Amino acid sequence: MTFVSYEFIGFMGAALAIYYGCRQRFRVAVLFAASAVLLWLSGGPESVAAYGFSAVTVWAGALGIESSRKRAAVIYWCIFTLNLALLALFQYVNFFGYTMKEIHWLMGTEWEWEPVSLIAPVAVSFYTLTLTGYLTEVYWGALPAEKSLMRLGLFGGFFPQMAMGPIARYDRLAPSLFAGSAFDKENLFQGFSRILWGLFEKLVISERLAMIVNTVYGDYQTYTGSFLVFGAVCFAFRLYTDFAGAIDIASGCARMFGVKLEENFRQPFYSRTVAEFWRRWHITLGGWFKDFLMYPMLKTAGFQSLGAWGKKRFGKKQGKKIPVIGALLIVWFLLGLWHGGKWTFIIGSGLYHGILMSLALAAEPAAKKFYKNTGIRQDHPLWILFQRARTFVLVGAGFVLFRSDSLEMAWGIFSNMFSGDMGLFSGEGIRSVGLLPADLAVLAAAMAVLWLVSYKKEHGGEDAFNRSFTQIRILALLSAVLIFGWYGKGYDPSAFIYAQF
Amino acid sequence: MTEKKGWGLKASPVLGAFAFVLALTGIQQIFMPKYQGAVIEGNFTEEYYRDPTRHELLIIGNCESYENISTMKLWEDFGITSYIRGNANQLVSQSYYILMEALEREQPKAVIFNVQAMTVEGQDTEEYNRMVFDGMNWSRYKWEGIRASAMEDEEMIEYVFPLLRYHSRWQDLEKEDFLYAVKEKPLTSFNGYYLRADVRPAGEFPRERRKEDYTFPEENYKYLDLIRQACEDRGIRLILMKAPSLYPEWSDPYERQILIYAREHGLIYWNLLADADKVGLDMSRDTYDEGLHLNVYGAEKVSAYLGPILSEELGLADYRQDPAAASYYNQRLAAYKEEKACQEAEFAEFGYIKRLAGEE
Repeated sequence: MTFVSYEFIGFMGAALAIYYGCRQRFRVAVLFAASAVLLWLSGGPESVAAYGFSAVTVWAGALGIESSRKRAAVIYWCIFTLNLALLALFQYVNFFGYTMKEIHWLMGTEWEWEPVSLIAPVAVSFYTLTLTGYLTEVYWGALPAEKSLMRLGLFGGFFPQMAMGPIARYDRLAPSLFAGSAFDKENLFQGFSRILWGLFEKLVISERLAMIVNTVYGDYQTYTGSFLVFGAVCFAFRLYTDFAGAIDIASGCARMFGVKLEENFRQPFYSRTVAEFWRRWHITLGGWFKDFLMYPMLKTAGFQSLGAWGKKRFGKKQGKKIPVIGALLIVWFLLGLWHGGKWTFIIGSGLYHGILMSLALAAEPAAKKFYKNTGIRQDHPLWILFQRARTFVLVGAGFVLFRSDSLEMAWGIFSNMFSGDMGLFSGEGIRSVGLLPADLAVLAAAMAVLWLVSYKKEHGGEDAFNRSFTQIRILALLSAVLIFGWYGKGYDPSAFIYAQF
Repeated sequence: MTEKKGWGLKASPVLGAFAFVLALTGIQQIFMPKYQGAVIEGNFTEEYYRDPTRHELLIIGNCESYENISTMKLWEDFGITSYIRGNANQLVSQSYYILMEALEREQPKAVIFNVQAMTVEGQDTEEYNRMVFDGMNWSRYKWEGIRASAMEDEEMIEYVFPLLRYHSRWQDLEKEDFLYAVKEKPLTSFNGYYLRADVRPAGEFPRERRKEDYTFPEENYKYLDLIRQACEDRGIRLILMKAPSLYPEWSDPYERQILIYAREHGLIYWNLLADADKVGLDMSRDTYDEGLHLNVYGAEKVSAYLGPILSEELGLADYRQDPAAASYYNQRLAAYKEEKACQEAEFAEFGYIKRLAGEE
């Protein structure tokens, strides 16, 4: 059962009725039960068992760490490794095969291989990070261990956020999650509005863009040049509206229960640099890797001595960047790997961005010199626009890899992109990308709305955006989703891209 | 003053919601298919409610029922009041629920069930289900009928709120969609009969692939039993009929099963395919699609053949002197003759029926 299904609407209605119909002290239990039921319905008993195993081990491990500081390290590493091993078992079972396939392609040879079909438990990538993050904070002494297994289970498996995030942090989520909030019309209204906006992003925009992307990328040998560039632009927005839509629906659902989830997106396409982009895109994932991997890694003796070596070799200012660059590359490799065992993920949503950020870091002195010599004002609107466009192009190129099935396909797309085919700009060309003219018009109008909303959020903040939901706008949004949304017979919009991770 | 403001504040969301629901209902009316073009069968279910008379004969089944018997000929020559409650690919379960709904409204003397649907297992496409149920008034029969025959990807909520099903028609809307959202649609059938006056002689059909098992699906027997039981309980004569359609092939094993069923339950069974010569059918002129269905000339022959049996053997009365029935039926008969003449003229001039070619 996914967010975009009649069943989920019914489920939410029932859960809300029971939640607000029962006494406050039972509300946490209601959320726990609802999350368990939804997990069962979505992934069957196997998913419930897998999540149960992770939650119980982390809960017991955290209590063990707190009660015996002497054995804390052993307990922590055992539980941490066990959970990561479980994640690896399901997510990376084909890693070797994919790797061999890419190596053979690079060498120009063939590799016949059938991927192992192993159905991963629902949301395993997300809850593993959520739970191990909590365990790490307890191990560091930054958090007290949660005594209640039910509360800990709910923290990792709260149904709106479990499948696609945001990746929760205990100290930020717990206060509202365990408050058993009283009925509040404002929460319901704001939550409902947020859900509608998410559905608009997903069903009106993302699914139409998907049609274009699938048409163009599905036949990238025929759709060359301008078509592939257009496909890449469409995919960047498709990924954004699909994922941000899912997060908005999740946040809206949580808000209806009085629970406030962390923001996961902050107008990423307004970013002027790749590093800024990743501070605005999938914020909680980046935050997790930064807090639980990058910073601890930089504190290790190995990285400290790398820094010392760098300072000697490249001078104080540039030398101290060496360990940072090393950590960036490791973190971004793992961040890409988190998406799955394919090298298109490892590079397209990982290493490639790590390299871009490392280059930017290393080139800082050159950039300063450039600004000084040219006299370009960094706050000039045109320069800002250029930087945003440059960032979009760089990130979009990574997304092409991310979207490709293999490095061979990505190479094919990139090389065909420069064929010089400008056919897209003919009337026939634009009609051949998989959407009817009327649908293209709806898409253009919806993208304009998306831009307006992003502009409002960027310049007025999230609260200004939330306040902008008047009843009339809600009804207009609902009408747009009902009429122009791609759902119902003939469509399968239920699968969110990030639900596969 | 304060009270007024309070009322205003309370009333506005309610009024707003009411106006919104009203607007959605209006939009839904516009988006529902109107079936005014080449495919008119989607109107048949709802047209039944517009017939103010009661019928002594109800005919249920799939296209073999609504294309092979002329209800107007039964009226004109025998004064028999009849209605065909049939739809394209109407399943046995659907025929049962459609019949049950009709039996809540009226008590016919006889029900003819066309048995070809007994061979069909499951629905081919969702569109057929929609044509059966969209026009049906809400009742427990509609609910249960949908549940009994819905395909895997069909959702009950899309029947309750058809806008969820037809929302994507926004780019296909035509003049008729707006016009008939507010205005009553013209009747497209003649008491459920689908009139075709064009001719396409029967040709050679490819031999059907032999099946391993010709046994009718259990589900169909279950609903045939229910139809039979419903008729027995109400003292209605149930007649099984195989219409004279040449295709799909009516194999001997099918025939045997129906014969056995009819014998076991004391039912009348007419195989008009076997009796095509007695009916006087000439498949070089009495079919419009090479033998799959009869045209109006063939359907009138079937009615002429069945009329005396229905009147004399089954005792269906002649209502031609009944003012209420005659008023309605004669009006429909005039429309029937007009439509037949119009189609004949078009066929003679163009070689096809303009409506079916998408022409005005």
